[in-house]
Amino acid sequence: MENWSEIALNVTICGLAIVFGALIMLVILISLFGKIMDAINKKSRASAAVPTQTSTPAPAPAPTPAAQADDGELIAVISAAVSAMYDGSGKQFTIRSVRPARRAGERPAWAAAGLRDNTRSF
Amino acid sequence: MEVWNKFIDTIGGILGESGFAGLFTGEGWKNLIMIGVACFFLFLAIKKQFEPLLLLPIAFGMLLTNLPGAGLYHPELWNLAGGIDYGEVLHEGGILDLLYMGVKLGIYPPLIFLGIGAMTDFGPLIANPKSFLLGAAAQFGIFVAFIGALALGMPANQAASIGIIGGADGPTAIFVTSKLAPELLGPIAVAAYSYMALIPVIQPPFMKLLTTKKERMIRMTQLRTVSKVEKIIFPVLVTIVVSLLLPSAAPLVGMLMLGNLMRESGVVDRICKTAQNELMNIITIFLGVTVGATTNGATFLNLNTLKIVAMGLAAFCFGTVGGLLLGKLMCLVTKGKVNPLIGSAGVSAVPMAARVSQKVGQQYDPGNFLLMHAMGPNVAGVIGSAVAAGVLLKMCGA
Repeated sequence: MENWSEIALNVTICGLAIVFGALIMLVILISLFGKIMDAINKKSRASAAVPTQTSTPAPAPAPTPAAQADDGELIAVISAAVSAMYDGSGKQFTIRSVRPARRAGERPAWAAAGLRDNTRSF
Repeated sequence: MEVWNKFIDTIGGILGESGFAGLFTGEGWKNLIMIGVACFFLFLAIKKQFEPLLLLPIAFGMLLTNLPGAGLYHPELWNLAGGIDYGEVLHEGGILDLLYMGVKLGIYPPLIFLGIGAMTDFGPLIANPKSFLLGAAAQFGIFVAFIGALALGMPANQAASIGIIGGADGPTAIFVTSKLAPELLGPIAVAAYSYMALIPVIQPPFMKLLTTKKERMIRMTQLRTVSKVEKIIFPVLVTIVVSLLLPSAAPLVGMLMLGNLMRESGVVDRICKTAQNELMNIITIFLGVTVGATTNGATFLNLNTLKIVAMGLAAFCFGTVGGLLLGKLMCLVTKGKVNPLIGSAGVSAVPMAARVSQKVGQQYDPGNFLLMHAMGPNVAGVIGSAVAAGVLLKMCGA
């Protein structure tokens, strides 16, 4: 009859080996499968990409003139807000530049706040 | 005069057979204590809202079984030395005995896994298959508890049932315990569900102990979108691979993946909805009440229960540690692409453990959105704990 430490060692090592082994096998199979799916998708995307190229250049010129006009209004609104903030405090200020605050790839503040709110659990 | 004597005799007879008499004779005091414990758990469930969906049925089952003479549950029917006589159960059993057959025959836990699979989205795991490794590492706690229980002098089958608490998966723990050590089902189930509810308290200290501030602030790249075809192939693939490798894990993994396939295929919406809602609710009621019913005073109030509580806690702690350590290793190997905090989500308490990773990550960087990344190891842990259960059933089963 094996004593407890032998049983412990045997089951633990075999157990961990089997758990890791099974899951590593699944990792390999799923990664492989992911790659096969990507290859299939690339082929179908390459053939679909060519027809859509011609339609994209047309809408592009239209947005830019509107964007410049908006910028002027935006700066005016921001200056008004900043002056309202400083109103009554007696401090002088000058607006040197107006730049979008977020880093590339980061979510806008409202989106981040909404995300945080919806995933808050306790 | 005759009538008066007869009256006294009858009343005396009724009182003698009443539950009150049962409480104050022989071993009845244990039942009294258990009634008190049951009322305390009911208070926790209702007032403190401590996992009420499970704790309320368990606590009430505990109450019902410890009422002497009520006859809802007969422990002696299930502990027969020569094996269970189901004919006897059907004849003599009370309502909880009859419902308990679902636990004993291994029906309820796989059906709960069916419901869980129908509610689980394996997308984050398919997008990042390396999460499987974190799900495997977190099962380390199972084996630590197993060794600990053996060291405390318990036989292998009991030690395995205690170890599986570390899988952080109620149905898995009940499935293994009902097959390997049914005499410990009550305390193990109560311990397993209590520790699962305490994960937000147990995990953060280890997460802060084992990771540096810089590691905790790592932001992981967005997961790739997973196509429908991949989500459909995944459950079939996992079932085939795991069941062929380890047939004893097949009931749990098979039902989990059936539920998931029903969800992902999109063509069986009616039965998927039933699996997620009505079926889950029915089985939860039956499972909760009957598991609570096994906590008879005599079996619950002894030293074994204390050992189970201690080893259960050790299992959870070491599971968290195992996941975190592998998370650190993966962080090192990928040169900082993996945030080690998602490692602790490998314990299979879905989605609680993933939310804990999210919460701790946000404490250090409010814009860090780890939830989806932590869901990968979290659901991998469900599969991992089912595989570990299969291993223990194979190696420690009679």
